[in-house]
Amino acid sequence: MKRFIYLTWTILFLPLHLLAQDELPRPVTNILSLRMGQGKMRDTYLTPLLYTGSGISLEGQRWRMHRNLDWTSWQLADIAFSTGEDHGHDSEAWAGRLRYRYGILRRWSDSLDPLTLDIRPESSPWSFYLGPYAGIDLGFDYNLKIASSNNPATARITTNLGAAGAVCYRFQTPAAQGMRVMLQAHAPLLGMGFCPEYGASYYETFYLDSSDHIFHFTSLHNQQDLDVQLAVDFPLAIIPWFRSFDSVLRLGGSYHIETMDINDITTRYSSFEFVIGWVYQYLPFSRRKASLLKRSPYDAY
Amino acid sequence: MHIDNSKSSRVAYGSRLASLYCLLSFIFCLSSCLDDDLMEQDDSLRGNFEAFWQTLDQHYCFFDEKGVDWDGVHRKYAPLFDDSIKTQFELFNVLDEMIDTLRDGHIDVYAPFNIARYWSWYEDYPNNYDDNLVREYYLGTNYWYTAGMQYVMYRRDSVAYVRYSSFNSAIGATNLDYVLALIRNANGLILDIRNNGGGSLANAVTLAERFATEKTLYGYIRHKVGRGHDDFSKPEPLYVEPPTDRMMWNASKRPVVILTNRHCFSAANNFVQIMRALDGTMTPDSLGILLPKMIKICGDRTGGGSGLPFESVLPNGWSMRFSACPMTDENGQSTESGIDPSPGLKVDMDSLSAFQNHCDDIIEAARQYIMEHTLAPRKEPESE
Repeated sequence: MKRFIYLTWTILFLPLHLLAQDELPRPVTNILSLRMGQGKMRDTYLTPLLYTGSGISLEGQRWRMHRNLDWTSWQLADIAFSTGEDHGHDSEAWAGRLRYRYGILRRWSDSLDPLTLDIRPESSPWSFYLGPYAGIDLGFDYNLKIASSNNPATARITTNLGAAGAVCYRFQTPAAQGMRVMLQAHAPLLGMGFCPEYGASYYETFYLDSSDHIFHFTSLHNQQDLDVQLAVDFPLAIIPWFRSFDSVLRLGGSYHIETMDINDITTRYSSFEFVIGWVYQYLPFSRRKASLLKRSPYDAY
Repeated sequence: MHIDNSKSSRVAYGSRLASLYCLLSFIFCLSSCLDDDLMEQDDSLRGNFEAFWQTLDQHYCFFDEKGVDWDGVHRKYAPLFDDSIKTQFELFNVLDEMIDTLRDGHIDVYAPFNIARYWSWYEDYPNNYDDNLVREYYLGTNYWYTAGMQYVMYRRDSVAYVRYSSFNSAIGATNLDYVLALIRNANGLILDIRNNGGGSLANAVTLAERFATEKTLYGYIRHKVGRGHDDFSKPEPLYVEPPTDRMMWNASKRPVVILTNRHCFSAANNFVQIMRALDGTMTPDSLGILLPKMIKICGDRTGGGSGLPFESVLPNGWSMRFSACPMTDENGQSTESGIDPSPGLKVDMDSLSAFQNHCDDIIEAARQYIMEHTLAPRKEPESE
């Protein structure tokens, strides 16, 4: 039995092993960020009022270069929660969001040597990324003032194809070695979205299973969503007191605006948030492959 | 890997500029045109009046049925805000008067100091219910109580009496199983929902389905699909169907009488509508003979309230409620203004008799109906 399992395993995965042996590992960057700031929200399914308050979100990003360094896979997942009050502080609303995006971005940069993954000394400090992504967004709004009504909350579900892009500048002066500034943005362009009908109750939609006109084609004509982040990646080692730390700190700001106009229901969100994060770069290599590299590349975007 | 540095650098330079241009253009265009919508609403007295008027104008569902000229209401009250309305109390009074024009118990404005409302749907009619009388002489102190239902079985005629005062009280399937099992040998069932102002429609359906033997149409619901007064969806049929493996009530042999008054509103009105639809539907007995269900409504006309209400909030923080989704009965007839008792069972309470003889005329009429129509084999009741 053991022999059979070993044989099956070998037949199935031998081609992958052989392929992998010819490849160098490609850099991966993970970014874990906490975003905190102020936001506004409005959902006319619940009330036409604008709610202003604060929000917090936890965001994870993963950038992984492909074999020829011209393409990068990009993943983003975040979970957010925000609360807001109307301007008279008489009513309160909550909102939550869960997002996932997976994109393949074209990379324009000559910073890395494709064979050794070393940073080229004469390379341009700029890197550019642009490409499509697919994603899913889940969200809800809940109004505490009308919590006991038939319309206390509303849900948002969208699946999207969108565009993501980034511009990265790498400082090359010895004093700021390893510092980078990154401007990135992503926006859905078309997809499908759930929205209740103008005056339909969730009782009717789900209890009575009345699902007419609740799924809609979304595009820029009825959904605009833009998430922009400007951040500085800051190696702690450039500070004399933190010489022994090899961590990279991310500090920055983000701006997110999201609107949806479906079934005469208007949904608006916007937020300005402070970003603090931890950037973790690594090469997914074995010890044998490590011998092929002189050192770990620093520029993993 | 061979790289042509000169060619690649030219291509890369152009590509960088293009991508940067696209990215920045996209960001600036989108953000500048989107942020305009995130403006506060006008919180002046006039602004709140307009918000209230507009919310109803766009969402209220009974303008045509009630023949209300809502634009005329605006023309009447809007000029007052130019000079005479100066305080929030005066604003409140105006909104209260506007509510009165709609004659709908589902419309309220909740201010911190008062509730603007229309309660004439029951205040202008006989009460037909005396809570002290029921508690003292029809429930006593040894009644059983679960899931908002107080119930007892009368030793004299073996009639079960269940008092359910609010559809806000959640009804569990197991609760109902026990109640129906404990009163299963009764000659009939009196279900007293007088003064029941409504609650959850789901509770009304949960209770009513124990009297159904097959999927039965009991009405239709619609909702607004746009801001126009007659922008409605197609009617969505509403069905009640019996649950599987649950304790049921055989209304073909043991009549059910629902006691109503003008204070039966909203979900209670819907419950009566469902039960009325079940009346007369056939149930096979043990020999396969089809017998019509005996489900009757006794007492006074219900208060109505067939619109599923939504809520919203005004700029000053006052919340408001209004009918948003109209429901009709199985024949497409509105029950917004109430449901009449079954023929021959329109009964008003005699207050003097209630006081002197401790007699609830509506309950007594229901008991009489049950004893005249029950097909249950006569047995000694098990409990009281």
